Amino acid sequence: MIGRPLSSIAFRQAIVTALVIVIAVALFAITALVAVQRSVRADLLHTIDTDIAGLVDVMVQGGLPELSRRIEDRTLVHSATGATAYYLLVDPAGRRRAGNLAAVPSVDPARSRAVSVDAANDRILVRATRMRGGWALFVGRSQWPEEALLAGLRRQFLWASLGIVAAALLVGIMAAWRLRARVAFFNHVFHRFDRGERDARVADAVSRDEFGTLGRHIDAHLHQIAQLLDIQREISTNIAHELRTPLAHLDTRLRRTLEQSEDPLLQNELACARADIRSIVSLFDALLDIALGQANSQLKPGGFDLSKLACDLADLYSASAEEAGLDFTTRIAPGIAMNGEPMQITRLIANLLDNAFKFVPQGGRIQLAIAEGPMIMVEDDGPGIPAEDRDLVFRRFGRSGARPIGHGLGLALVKVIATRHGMHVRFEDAHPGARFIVHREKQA
Amino acid sequence: MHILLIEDDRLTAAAILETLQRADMTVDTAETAEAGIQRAGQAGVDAIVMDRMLPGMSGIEAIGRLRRAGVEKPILMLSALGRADERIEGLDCGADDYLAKPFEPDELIARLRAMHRRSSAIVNQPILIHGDIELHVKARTAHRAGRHLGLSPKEFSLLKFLMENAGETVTRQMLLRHVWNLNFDPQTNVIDVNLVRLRRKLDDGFAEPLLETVRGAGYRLKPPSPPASA
Repeated sequence: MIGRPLSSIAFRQAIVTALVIVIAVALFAITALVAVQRSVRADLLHTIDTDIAGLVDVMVQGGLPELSRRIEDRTLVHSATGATAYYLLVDPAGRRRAGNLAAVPSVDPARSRAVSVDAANDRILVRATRMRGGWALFVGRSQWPEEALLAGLRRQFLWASLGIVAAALLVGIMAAWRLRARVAFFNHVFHRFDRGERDARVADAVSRDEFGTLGRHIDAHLHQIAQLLDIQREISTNIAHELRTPLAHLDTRLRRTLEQSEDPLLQNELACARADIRSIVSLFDALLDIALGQANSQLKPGGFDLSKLACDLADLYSASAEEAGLDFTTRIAPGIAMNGEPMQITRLIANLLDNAFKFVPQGGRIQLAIAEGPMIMVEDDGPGIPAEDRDLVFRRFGRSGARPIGHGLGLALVKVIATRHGMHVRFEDAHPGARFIVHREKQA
Repeated sequence: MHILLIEDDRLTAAAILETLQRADMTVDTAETAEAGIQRAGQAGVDAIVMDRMLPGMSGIEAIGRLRRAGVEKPILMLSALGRADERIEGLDCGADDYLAKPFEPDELIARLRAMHRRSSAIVNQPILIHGDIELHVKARTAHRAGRHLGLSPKEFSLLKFLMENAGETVTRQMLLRHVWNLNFDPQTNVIDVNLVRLRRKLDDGFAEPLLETVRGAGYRLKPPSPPASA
């Protein structure tokens, strides 16, 4: 179970949560960076605009010479923020007359738009304005403090995001691990109960959370199931006892009367009545075998040699086959071991063989095969089972119309025994005849 | 043979008593497990017939107590619970044999006798002899009047069981349990067919057939007739 964490709901949930956090943090960082960038840009534009307004005032009051002098003065000033100021005064003919910009930026002074341009070793935000007489003034500021600020912010956001995601993932995985352990414990309790440990319980009296409530519910139901199984067993035993005892008395009375009777007709009737008692008892036993087999999934632990068991049983049946003129063969792989109750498996095979022996006419063929898996197969070339009756054969009293012999419980018991051993039984058409295959269910 | 019968159902007890006495057995009876356990420890009892469901203490518990107290006498458990699982449970708890009600009186007698024989020395002899049949247990060979009988391993076990109980009826259920180790009855006549085969190998070509069918009960190796005096 611990081997495949990705298949666990809890782990998948932890990973999904971490992904959601990554996306949320990324969205937040992008929004914050855009807001900061806008604010810094607005500040920069405000500075540029204030600068332009001041220089236009100088032009109005002092004329061009004063403006040129002031521009030269300002190019010598270094800003406290380190953002270099750029100026350029261009005459109506387009010639540079003052300022520290080497080239005229491609900004239209008539439209007064701010544009980012590359100049020498710097990237600058520049705005132009047209003045009296066709002169143009360009004022710009270096953008690198803005870019440095944004880069720093991006770095800080990245580290913060990594930290948040790592913490979320760690907390999520820890929570998932804990959740998984608690669910695994519930599953373990159910497995133990299924294996027949009727006292398996969650037994968690302290947890106040949803799992605590679930655990207490599970315990209450397991307790109820265990009680019902006990009651079923007890009632079955009682019924068997209470039914058999009067039948035994009845049998004794019939036998005594039979022993004293001289009348052959009466003797015959009494003998038939005694045989009826035996068939009632055997029918009842078969029903109880099936009912208790279904209710009780507990198997006595232990392994046995299935091949040897099958060989011994085949030996018992081979004489019958010869006598009945049947071609009975075996195909038993040696050394096949299986876990379970040997007597139950003997019964399973005997029932399948009994079934075949009953229905295959003289001269017919029956084969018992044992193979790896383990797989048990009994195949015959008898009349088979009509398609419409095939669902019936494993049901109680599910006699096929084509097979009216017996009380119809043999194959039902085969199914119960197979299920108890974690095996699956199926019928196939052997063209002609019937093929019953009992095999281990594939592990999901 | 002295039998202790522990059975609380009076009607059943009376029927069993009658059956056992007819077979020349001496019978002591007890109605409770406690009384039965007390009596079982005393001398003189050869075998015990114990009901499974007794008031106060189950037969299974009583057998456990008897075995723990060192009582090794053979015990036949008699019960109204007759499913294969229940038989195995009864045998596992220490009973030597298990018989479900209703049963044939002959079956009870045959089982008690076989059980008694098994508990005595007869079964462990290296060579079994019955009339002109000779069985070498270790070599697993059988001869009749010096002629080798080619028996399969199961036929050998079958003949051995019959010889251990020579002169007594052995029932189909006994054969299933002791020779094939099966605690349930297969629906087909497998036992009879195996006996027919054994009979062919054992009796064909000999003047006196020894393996006989006891109608409605089982089979028996009949005692050989005394040699005709010249």
